[in-house]
Amino acid sequence: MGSNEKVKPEVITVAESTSRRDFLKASAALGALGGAGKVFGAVTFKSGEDYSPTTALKRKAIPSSCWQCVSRDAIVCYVEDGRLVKIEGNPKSIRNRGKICSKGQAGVNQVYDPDRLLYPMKRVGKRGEGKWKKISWDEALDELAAKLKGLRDDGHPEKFMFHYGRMKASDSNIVKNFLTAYGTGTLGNHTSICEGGKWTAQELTWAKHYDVWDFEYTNLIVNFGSNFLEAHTSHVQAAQRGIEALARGAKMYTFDVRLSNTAAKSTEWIPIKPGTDGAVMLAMGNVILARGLYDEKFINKWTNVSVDILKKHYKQYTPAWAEGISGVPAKKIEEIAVAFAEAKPAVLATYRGAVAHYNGVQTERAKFALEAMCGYLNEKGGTNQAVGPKWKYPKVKGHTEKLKLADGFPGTVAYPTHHVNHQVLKMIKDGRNGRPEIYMIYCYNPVYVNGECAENAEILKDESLIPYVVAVDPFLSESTALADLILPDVTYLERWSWDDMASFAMIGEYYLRQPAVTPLGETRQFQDVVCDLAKRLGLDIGCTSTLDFIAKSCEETGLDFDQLKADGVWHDPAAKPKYHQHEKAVKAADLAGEDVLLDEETGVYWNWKKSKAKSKEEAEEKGYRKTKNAYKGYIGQKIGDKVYKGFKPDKLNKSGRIELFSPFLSEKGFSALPAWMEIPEHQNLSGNQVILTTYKVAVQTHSRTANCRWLSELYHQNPALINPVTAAKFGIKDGGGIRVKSSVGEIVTVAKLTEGIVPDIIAISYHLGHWDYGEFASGSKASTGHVCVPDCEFKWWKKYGHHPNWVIPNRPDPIAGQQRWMDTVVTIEAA
Amino acid sequence: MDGHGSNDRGGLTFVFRFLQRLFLEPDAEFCHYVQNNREGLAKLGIAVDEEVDLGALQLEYTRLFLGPEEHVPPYESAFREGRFWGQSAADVKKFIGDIGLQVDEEFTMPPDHIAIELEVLELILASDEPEAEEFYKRFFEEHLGWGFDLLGRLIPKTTSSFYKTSFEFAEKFLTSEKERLRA
Repeated sequence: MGSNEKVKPEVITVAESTSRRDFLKASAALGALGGAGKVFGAVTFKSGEDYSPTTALKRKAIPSSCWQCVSRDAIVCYVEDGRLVKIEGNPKSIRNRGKICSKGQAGVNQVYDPDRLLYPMKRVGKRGEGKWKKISWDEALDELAAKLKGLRDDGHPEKFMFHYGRMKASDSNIVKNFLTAYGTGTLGNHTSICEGGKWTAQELTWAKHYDVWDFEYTNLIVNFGSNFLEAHTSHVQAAQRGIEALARGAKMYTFDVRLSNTAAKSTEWIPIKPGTDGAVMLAMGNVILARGLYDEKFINKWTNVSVDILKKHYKQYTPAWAEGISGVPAKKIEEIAVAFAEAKPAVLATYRGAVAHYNGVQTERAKFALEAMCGYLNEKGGTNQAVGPKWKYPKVKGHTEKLKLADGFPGTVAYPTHHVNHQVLKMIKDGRNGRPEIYMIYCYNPVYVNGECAENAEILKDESLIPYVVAVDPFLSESTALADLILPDVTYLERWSWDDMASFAMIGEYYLRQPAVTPLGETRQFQDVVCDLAKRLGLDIGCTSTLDFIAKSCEETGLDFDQLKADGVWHDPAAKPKYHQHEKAVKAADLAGEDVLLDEETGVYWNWKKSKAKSKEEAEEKGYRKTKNAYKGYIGQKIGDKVYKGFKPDKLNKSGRIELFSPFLSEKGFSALPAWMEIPEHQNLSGNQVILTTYKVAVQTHSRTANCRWLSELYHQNPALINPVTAAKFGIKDGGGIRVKSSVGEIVTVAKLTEGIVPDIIAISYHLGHWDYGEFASGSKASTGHVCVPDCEFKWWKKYGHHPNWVIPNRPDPIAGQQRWMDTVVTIEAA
Repeated sequence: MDGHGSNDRGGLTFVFRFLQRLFLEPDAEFCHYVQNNREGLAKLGIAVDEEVDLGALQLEYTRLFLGPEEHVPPYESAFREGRFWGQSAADVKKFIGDIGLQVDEEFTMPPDHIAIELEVLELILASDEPEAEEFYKRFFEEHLGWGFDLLGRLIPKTTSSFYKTSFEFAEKFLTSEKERLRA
């Protein structure tokens, strides 16, 4: 082997330092460390600081923002010797107040997941076959840019579809600037599988979405189907304030089909049949109206109905009637209705348990009707319009074209204001509204997160339906495995963003996400990749990099970027909590412009130039309601001789009042007042049918945390929960097999008998049953799985749960297009 | 270092360098070397088929080490702790610092890559310091044990005779070093 000089390791990765010490000195240094133990006694641990248990040295603390779920709490990342070792809540945050959940702490697992995607990859086998070639970023982006340029040059930028799952704040604005500059409006999101129906209901009824529950000052919580102590879009903000409310004596009544931990912590869990929350709320309204417990002044001033109209309408919804539908005793409904009206203030909480149904929009409207009847909206201690930071940032304007793929099949959904994106793949298969030639998914796993997994995979795999699939992902998800090109994104702990989640402190908080560690491998933040693509395509997107965008945003907003980097958060110390937002008077000057019109029908002042009207005359003739996008010009609501800010509309030309009577709904043939809607499939179930519902636990998210080792160690089995009475009827045993069949598929899982669930249903949590996503999530297609044979101490479990989405159809509710997670009728049998 | 004879030292340097390159992504230079040293490598039991070319080596390397499908990340922490940047990586980093070296900042992966660990051994081997043998033994015993597990996964997984025989050579080498140090 005389050729050793030809094998010089040019890729030498151990470089001599400038002050090389000899081994003796190194040994001396090792010896000296022995004395460090004494330091321990002197260290005082306090929030916002952390110390190494081995060296007692203070760890580097980097304030940032969580992204394990959409709550996006402010965090502090502790780094020791270049390694991220721990994550805690940022004590300077007024939102999460130094606290985070288990998912947030397990973020460490995301960065150091051995199954991370670390290099751009190009498919070399058949789509989905699993054969890949590592390519350089230049090769990847040259290929993508050439395809994008081709579509644009052909005059079809809309054939580039960008479908994102989780994309917020600056991350979103940079990407949307790029998409606008490119010229495509063919965007998809994932709100319909979250709570889009809740938001549409709010837009029909009161204001721009996001209801903040002011638990901090409330006297009573009535909760329909929200498991906010375990999972919520503002989980830690809501959970800690909710628990504090209970600790100071506030009562909480939780209506749920399942004894969630939120129900368990409540004053009382009231079991209810699935999809019947609205019936109980309507009956509560009946009681409040019949007993004169309403706030007549508030109803008259701030809603568009009278007490008489409400009384007449609610008369039909008696507690006895609701008992027949929901199974909740009429007396209990009366008791809680009275307690709610007398609490002054109270919060009525709802989430997917109540809204992810056929009738979810009317249920959410019934919630607002109850709160409006009692005058609790925008009150201290009630439900409030969200308050968040008001970032200013570089915006790109331009003309875009789009394929109509996001709003479901024509005529099936009345007001898809948050879209029907769980049907995008079906729409592509259908083809009538066109098909994208480039389908890019970002932080989105459509095969897994929507219902009908089998069909989703089949469509995504079909090159004749979608010629080119690009996945931007830090992990090999079930959808990314079907891509043609993989662009490895950084995790949120290696990322720059400014952030903007709503504040339960009712004061906006500005905050920052900054890298705790250097991105691993060749991963790149997608927003920087977008800037790179823009450069290749010659597009101006208002920034040259993510950092440039953030620096410009700070400058435009008037914030000190360096301060944000040091503290992670900032809020105006002089700001007061924003209650009663609707009561703010509009300045006379704001009503004086020549483009401002007063709409006589609604009493809305609006600027017609912000709408789609072509002329003032057209705007005047059509009026506020009938002019497209008139809500964008909304200024204020005239009530008597005053003009108030009112409940500012979004997406629909609603007035500034709470529209308990919705002209939009009557126009489309639905009840204009909150009303009971039967769930068609739930009527007349046959003997072997039950209703499948889903839920979330505290230690997992829908699809992006099962790879976190600490979390999957805690939760890696999701049996079908079933009441012993129902189980006996079907001969199903505790721990035994259960076959679950629906119109779209079949799974076999394990049954868990519990009285913590109502009879005649089963419940399976969403989180588990991955078949990709690495060793900890699925045990397959993974790296360390090959190390763990037969056992190893870092992974002792061999179960990965079962995914319910194989049997859940992708069906939208008829008003908003919300995915009906809780409505699936299935047959069950012992297996 | 005194543990090996001077002739051995030259041979070992070659072995360490060859193995480092084997576990790093193949480039044109490495491919060229392999193609042009068929006979010499054959003496070590390493087979270089006619079809060995850079593209094939890169594809196989990706499949074996980079994924994204089933693969074997060549990092000690991945094997011992099921993660990147575990305690093993921190210990390797500290060891490297203690002997007066540092990891190149441009290397964006953790320092417990098998190639870096082999390079550490090579650098100790090159040292004439009296403690070198002790450091060599300590690092080998504390950190190279997982190399057997790594090769145990790679040998049945690879479909390339070049990689298979090279891994077998690596296994023999590690075994001989292990026995020598134990003696």
